[in-house]
Amino acid sequence: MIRVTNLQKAFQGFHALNGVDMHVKKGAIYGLVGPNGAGKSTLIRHITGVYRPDAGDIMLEGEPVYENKQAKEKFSYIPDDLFYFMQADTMEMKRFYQGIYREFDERLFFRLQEFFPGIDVKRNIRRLSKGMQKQVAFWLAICCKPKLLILDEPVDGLDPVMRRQIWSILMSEVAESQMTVLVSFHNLRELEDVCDHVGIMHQGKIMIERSLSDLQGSVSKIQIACTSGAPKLPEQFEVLHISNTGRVYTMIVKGDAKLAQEALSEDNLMIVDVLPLTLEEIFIYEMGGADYEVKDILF
Amino acid sequence: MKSKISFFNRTIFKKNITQYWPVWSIYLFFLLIFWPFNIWQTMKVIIDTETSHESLSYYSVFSAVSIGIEPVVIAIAAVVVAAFLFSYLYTARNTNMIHALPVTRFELFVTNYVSGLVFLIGSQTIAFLIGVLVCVGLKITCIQYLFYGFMYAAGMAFFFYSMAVFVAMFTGNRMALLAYYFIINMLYVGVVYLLANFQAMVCYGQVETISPGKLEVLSPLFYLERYVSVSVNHDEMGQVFGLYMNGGFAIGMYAVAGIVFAAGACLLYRKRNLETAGDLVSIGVIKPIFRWGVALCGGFLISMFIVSTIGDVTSINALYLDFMISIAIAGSICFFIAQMLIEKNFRVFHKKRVVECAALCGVCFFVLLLFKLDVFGVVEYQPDAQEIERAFVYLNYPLSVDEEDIPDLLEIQKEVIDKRDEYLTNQANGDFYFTTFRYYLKDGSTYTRRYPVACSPDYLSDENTPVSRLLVYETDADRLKKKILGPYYNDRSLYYDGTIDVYDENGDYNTLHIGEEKLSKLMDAIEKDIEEGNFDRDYISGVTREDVIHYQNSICLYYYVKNDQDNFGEWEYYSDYWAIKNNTMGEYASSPETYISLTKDCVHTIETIEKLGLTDETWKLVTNQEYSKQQGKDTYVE
Repeated sequence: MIRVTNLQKAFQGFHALNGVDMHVKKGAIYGLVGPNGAGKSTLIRHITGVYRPDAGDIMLEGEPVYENKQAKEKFSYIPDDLFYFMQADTMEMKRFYQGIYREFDERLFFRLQEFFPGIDVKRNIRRLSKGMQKQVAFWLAICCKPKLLILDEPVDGLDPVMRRQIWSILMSEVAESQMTVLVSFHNLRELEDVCDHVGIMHQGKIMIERSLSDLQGSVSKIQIACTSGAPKLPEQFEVLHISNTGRVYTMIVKGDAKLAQEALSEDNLMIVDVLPLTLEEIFIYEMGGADYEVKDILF
Repeated sequence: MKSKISFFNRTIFKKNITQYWPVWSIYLFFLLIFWPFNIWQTMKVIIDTETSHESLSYYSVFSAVSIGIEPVVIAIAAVVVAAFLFSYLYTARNTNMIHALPVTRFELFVTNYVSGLVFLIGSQTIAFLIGVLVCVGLKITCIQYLFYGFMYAAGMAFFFYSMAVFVAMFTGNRMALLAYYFIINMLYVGVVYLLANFQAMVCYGQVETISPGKLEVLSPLFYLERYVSVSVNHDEMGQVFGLYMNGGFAIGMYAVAGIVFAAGACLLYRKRNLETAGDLVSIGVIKPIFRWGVALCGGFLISMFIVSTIGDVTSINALYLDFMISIAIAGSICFFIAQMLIEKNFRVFHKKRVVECAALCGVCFFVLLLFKLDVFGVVEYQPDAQEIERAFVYLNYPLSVDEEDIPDLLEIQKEVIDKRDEYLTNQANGDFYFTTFRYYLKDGSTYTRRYPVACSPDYLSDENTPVSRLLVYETDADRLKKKILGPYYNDRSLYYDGTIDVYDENGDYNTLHIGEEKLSKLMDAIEKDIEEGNFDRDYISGVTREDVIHYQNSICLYYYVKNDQDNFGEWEYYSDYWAIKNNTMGEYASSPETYISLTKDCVHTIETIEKLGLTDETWKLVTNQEYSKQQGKDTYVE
């Protein structure tokens, strides 16, 4: 659906994007993760055709996005910082989107109204709460019937019930219309529940791009209880982190967890146990390996 | 599937009309008030007077058109409309949202550009059509002038709006757009006046009154404000027979420039980096121009203020040193302020910028050095006598120099130039009189220089000094008679009356009409006093040191003027000779007057006044000192 090749962008000498390569498959829910300043929003603004790249290509279903009306009609975009026209209410914004997007589904708009009972469609949107404004954005974006939905921090500011509802609507739309979703997100725990693919961004590059299952399988947490010093793994395993509490060592290991377990078992260690890693932990350890200060990541 | 190219988006156009209705409706309301309502009001207010319906029609249309084609109003409306319609470029979230929509930049530009034209020219069209209906209703037949006015207004709106949109592409900030727009509108003229004032300070003899010349067209608002006008045409009987509209060709030319601006704006928009939303300068190559422009203009302006306020202007070397110090300080401050505005950050003192600032100071010093060495020949330059059509010199009063005396005048000026160091030193002592040399050259230009000509007793006693040689011109009886009695003093038939103020012992005054018969005798006496030099100390007061006792009384002579161009006299000096010659200043006063003040030296005049019975026991001539005493003041200072 989206293919980004060697995308570069500099702002007054600062390289915000430093050769981004990215591939989002059709029908995937792709989570774009990265610390603040990694370049996620800049990348999204390139994918939405807002920014002109210094170098590289962005193709949407084989078509370049920048200044391409046909390509842009395929997606809806909900930015982190929403904008509505002054004095506009939901109905006016609906009419605006209806005029802009040929595929806008008016019947779906009224059908979805029951999911947003708290929104007064005749009230100036700018006077609605931030959460309600997000809901309106979602509502309108889905009614545009896009093939691709691009979300930048989508449920930030929404209460837990509404977050669940939004994700629920999103998942049903994905299931129903094979919609592709690209979502930039900080809350990795929540993202883990909805994404099937993840791209981890750091310093203007996509460091890792894998399916969630691959990613979770590639990094493991192994707990070892041993009597004689720190355990050692063969060289083919990259140890991202090691810590100990008394004789119990915890290792974060990159590579096949089963092979690592077998290798450690050969050393006659007392207990070797492989524990699942959350996406958040993977993110922290991967970023730690890229000179990123783990202590600075606050979720 | 091949895409269909779209130039216009109806949804966005509709959004513009509905979202920004207050903008166009305020302008429309203004136009309705000053066009149709104004016509109706003018006709209604003067309906009861004896003015004919035809004259009233012209006046009412004139009243509407004169406000309707006011360039300042149109320029303000245009930039406000542009600032609203392209405001989405000035906030990141707005620009991100709009440009993520399936609309190309070209389509966005055309839609917003057309929306603005509809706001402006659409409002003008509505006001014009309603104006036509009002005219028809009031049986006004000169509707064509309303149409011309509409075309003028539409042309200016097109130009100013295109220019505002073009300027809008250079910035990412709405307030900056407004500031840049007005700066660019006045930039050329502003820079010319800045340079003229700078030259006047550092170049010996230079005056600040330099005309921007034909290139003033580069300052559109200034130019249109000067040359776009409408006036009422009267026939010889004073009846109105039409309106005269000026500036149509200029508006046409500007409208063509408007097309270029619109095309340029479109091109810039398509190349624009949208991440510059909020920036004062959104185009990279403009940033150094902005930085240097602010530094140079601000630096020179501030340093001129500092030097003129606290600097030493009586020594060339001290003056240049003051300028160097103040330009270095003020220019650097302006440079870094500009950089702070560009970067939106106070931390701008990077090595690169400090070096650039040093280079800027170096350029300023170099420019100062060029002026100091008079590389451009500004100080030394004098036109040839053959190039001069009309010459004036003004020591105590402006006098026209005869063609055969022009080489002599140039020689005097040359001596004044050569003695610049001496005269500037002398200026500090206070024994000087500013003397202006003004030449109207045959190529249509004007040359003016002003020097502090030394006039201390030493200089006055030497008949070869410039001041003495200039005094020979000024005390020439014929010239002084023209100055005092008026340019036609030889033709008494043109003098039809005169008055004299006489005072009683309480200080009350009475204005007496002299009458034609007595006037001639009084003029004879004045001429005799002039010939004997009795008026010299009054009219050549700038270089005389003796005490002069002035009378409070003044004489006023009224005369007609001949329709010739050789005797405009002082008016020609104070006004623009070319404008008078080309008759573009309108009619000059057909019945001027001259005021004469008297001193105790004017014995023949005083004697004649008494003989003619213009004074008596009650109404007398009173000196300033006597008058002061009458008014209860103990002392009088001349």
